[in-house]
Amino acid sequence: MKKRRLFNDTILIALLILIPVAMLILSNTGENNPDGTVLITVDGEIFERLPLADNAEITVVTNAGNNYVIIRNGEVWVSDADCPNKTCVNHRAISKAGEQIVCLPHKMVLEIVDKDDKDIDSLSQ
Amino acid sequence: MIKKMAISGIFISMALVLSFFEGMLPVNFGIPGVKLGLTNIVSLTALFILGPVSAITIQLGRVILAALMFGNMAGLVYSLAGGLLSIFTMILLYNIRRPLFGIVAISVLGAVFHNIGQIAAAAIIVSDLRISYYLPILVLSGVASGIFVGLVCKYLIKGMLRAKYIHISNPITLDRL
Repeated sequence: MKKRRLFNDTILIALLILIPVAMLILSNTGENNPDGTVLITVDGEIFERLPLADNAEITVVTNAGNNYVIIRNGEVWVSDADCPNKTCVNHRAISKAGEQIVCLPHKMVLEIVDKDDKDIDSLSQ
Repeated sequence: MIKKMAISGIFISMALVLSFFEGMLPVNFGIPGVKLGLTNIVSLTALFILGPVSAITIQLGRVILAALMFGNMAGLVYSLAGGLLSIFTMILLYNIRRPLFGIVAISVLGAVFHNIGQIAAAAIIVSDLRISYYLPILVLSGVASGIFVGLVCKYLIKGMLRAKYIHISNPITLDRL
């Protein structure tokens, strides 16, 4: 029984390490595309869509507060926000397609998508 | 029965202390949801020495009280989702005979599903179901946390057995350690 248990545990943990690592490697082979678009949604509805290539500063206005988003040099990040936990502000800058910065209290999702990506699979009313 | 209730109460307060202590550590990663999960030590130990019902009670109690005490009511939904999913997964694995999972595997899956529950709740609330970006990182974080917590619990329970503080009659439970 004990041998069986050790075997099961090891297999399970090995799977749980290998599969995510494989997923990470696969997703990182898509590199910085200057073609990308920054998609900002609030509560499921598209707030703004900006090209990643153009420097910009935008204030995301939500019912719960504001987030100040900066796009510069192909990266995007949240410079300031009036949400309680500031997780979005502390998050490092994102630049690759698929990466996200989320502000839960404001229900804001900041995501980088490919320009021709049909992103209507987010739940919107 | 009353003894179990009293001990469960003590367990909840221990979990709250661990939660507070964990909050004092400098936040490491900047990725939401990556944490040590020290409080799961209490939940997992409760599952093994007090039984599933007490484990659920302790998990519920510590999640709700932590949110109340540390002023984080807004985060209660996510913690509750993750915490409940976690304890139910662990109970499920605890009751499965074949394949037999040890305490470390139960802990790992509990931690992973704790993260998945939190992310799923966030995805629903934010109305954006594209969570796949965070999943690999959270699973890995859950594995790391789960291994640590699982090993702590394993040697904790073994030590308590050897010191005759507790007694476990179920041989299958003993096999899991």
